[in-house]
Amino acid sequence: MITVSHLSKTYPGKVPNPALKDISFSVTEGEFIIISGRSGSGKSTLLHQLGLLDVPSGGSISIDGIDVLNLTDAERSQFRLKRLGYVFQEYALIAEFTALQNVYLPAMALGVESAAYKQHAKQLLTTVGLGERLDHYPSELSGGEQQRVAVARALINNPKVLFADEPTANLDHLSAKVVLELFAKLRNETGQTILLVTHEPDEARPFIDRSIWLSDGRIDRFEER
Amino acid sequence: MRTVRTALFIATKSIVQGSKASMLLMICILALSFLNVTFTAGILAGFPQAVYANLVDNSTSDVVINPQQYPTVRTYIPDQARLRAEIQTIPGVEATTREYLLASSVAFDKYHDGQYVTTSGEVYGVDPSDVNTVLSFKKDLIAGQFLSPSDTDQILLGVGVAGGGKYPQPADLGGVKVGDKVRVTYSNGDIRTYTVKGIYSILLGNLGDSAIITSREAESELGVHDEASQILVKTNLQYASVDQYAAKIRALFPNLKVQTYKQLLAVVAPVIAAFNLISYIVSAISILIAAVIIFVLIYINAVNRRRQIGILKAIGLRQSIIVLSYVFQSLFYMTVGSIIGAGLAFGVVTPFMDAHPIVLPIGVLYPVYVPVTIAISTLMLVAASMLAGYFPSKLVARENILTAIDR
Repeated sequence: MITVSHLSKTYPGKVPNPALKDISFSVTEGEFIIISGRSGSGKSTLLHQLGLLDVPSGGSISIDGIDVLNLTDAERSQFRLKRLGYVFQEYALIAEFTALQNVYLPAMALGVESAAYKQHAKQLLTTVGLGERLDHYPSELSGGEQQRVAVARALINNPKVLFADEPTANLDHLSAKVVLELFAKLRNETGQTILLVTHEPDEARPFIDRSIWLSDGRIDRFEER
Repeated sequence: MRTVRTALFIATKSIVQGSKASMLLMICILALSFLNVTFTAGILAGFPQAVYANLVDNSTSDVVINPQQYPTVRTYIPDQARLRAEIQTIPGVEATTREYLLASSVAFDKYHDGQYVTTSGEVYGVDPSDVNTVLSFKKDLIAGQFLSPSDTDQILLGVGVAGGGKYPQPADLGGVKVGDKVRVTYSNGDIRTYTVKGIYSILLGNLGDSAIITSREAESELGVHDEASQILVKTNLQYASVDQYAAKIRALFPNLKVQTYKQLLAVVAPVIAAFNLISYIVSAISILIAAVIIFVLIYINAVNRRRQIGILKAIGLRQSIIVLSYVFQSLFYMTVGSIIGAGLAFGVVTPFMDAHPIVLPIGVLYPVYVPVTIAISTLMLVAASMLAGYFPSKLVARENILTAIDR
């Protein structure tokens, strides 16, 4: 599903900052993997490269058989829209849109028929336990609820891979557990491939297949569950 | 289609849920810009119109009929009463009058000491009973009264002849007053004395530097009857164009020389063209200012929504959707601004100007709204707003996704 070869990322500056160094690993379809490590180890940077939100300095990434680093800007957008789902630590919901509108916007952009995407968005919000809060704006939802809206949005176009960047970092223990159980349910019921970045791997450990540990921009070790 | 649909959706939500204060500010500025474009163009278009109206009202009327030019050049139009009766059967012709034109000099003995000051000028012989149905001398009287048909020993003087007005002429008579007597020497050497019954002020055209007597007195002087130097025709221009009226009169009287006011006033065409050019330049500058304003406002709007733009890109929306959503927003602001601006122009400023017109020596100045000019200005404003929506959002949408989201 995902093959990463010799991936590197260096942030330019007076003193260039190498954030990722020679990263190589593979992910098979349906795997639930966490990427963990200390703060500054490069976890989020790695996820940004995999989620096509940033451009690496070297190496290659293949997702679903496509060399994604050779895509044009427009093709990368289309690839993100169709095949990738991304959940941000800070939820990244659009304040002017209701929960339902936040969720169905990517499907609308993909050209799905209006009745169909609204129905699917309602269904996803019901699945994440927000069936009663469809018309609430982000400011009217708690952090945990906003994160669940973000998860529903990431799933609206049935992505091949779901990326989640510290989705529980801003949540209380109970809300964090709800979100992680949601990921586990997804993986178990739909076979969704999930890569999740966390600095608290213990919380996620019961649900995952594998963990990748980063240290100083390099892969330190792989851990099987 | 999906691009347009998604962009429209984002634009609608941004407008409905966005800051009402900045939306009001933007619409307010654009409404005033629209008002500026239409009102300035209207006033500048009104200036030549005022000049035209003044000249037509006081001098030429709509159509002027002159004596036969071919095969023989004649000085007068014979049988003028029958001719005018026939012209008045043309649908849309409102009134006619005739004039005699006499070359002369006017002299005034201001101090009754036998020292006459003389000035040359034309004397018009008019029919007091109908001249004011075609021309508007009466309203231009600044002293005394208008002639009556029997006033064969009385005369009206233009202020340019009488002197003593706001705009003294080097060759005027130095301040003739109503009741004074003046001596007129006609080109045949005949000298007649008249009492000044009124003084009128017409700044444009020849009349301001001329004098007026009754047609009966003119006929007595010229030794003619029922003739005319020219016939003036007032028409209803909403019924037909002035060229159509002229064509109908030519068809009736092919031997006479028939001219429209446009042909007679061709001399002022360069002035009008200059005003039109100024109007276009001022409109273009106003549109440019409106475009810059909307550019700045949309740019500020887009910069304030950098995070939203970053999120939209992160979830896979193409730049074109994001940029189009801002173009739609600026179109919305411009449309609403234009509608309010038009409401202000036609609902507030125009009624105010009608109630308080700007009175200039050349005539009364009203804004003249030319539909084509307004349509062109509106289209240019729309085009400017589209460009002004496009470039700032394109600039912001090019930013790195992560940088935009982290803001």
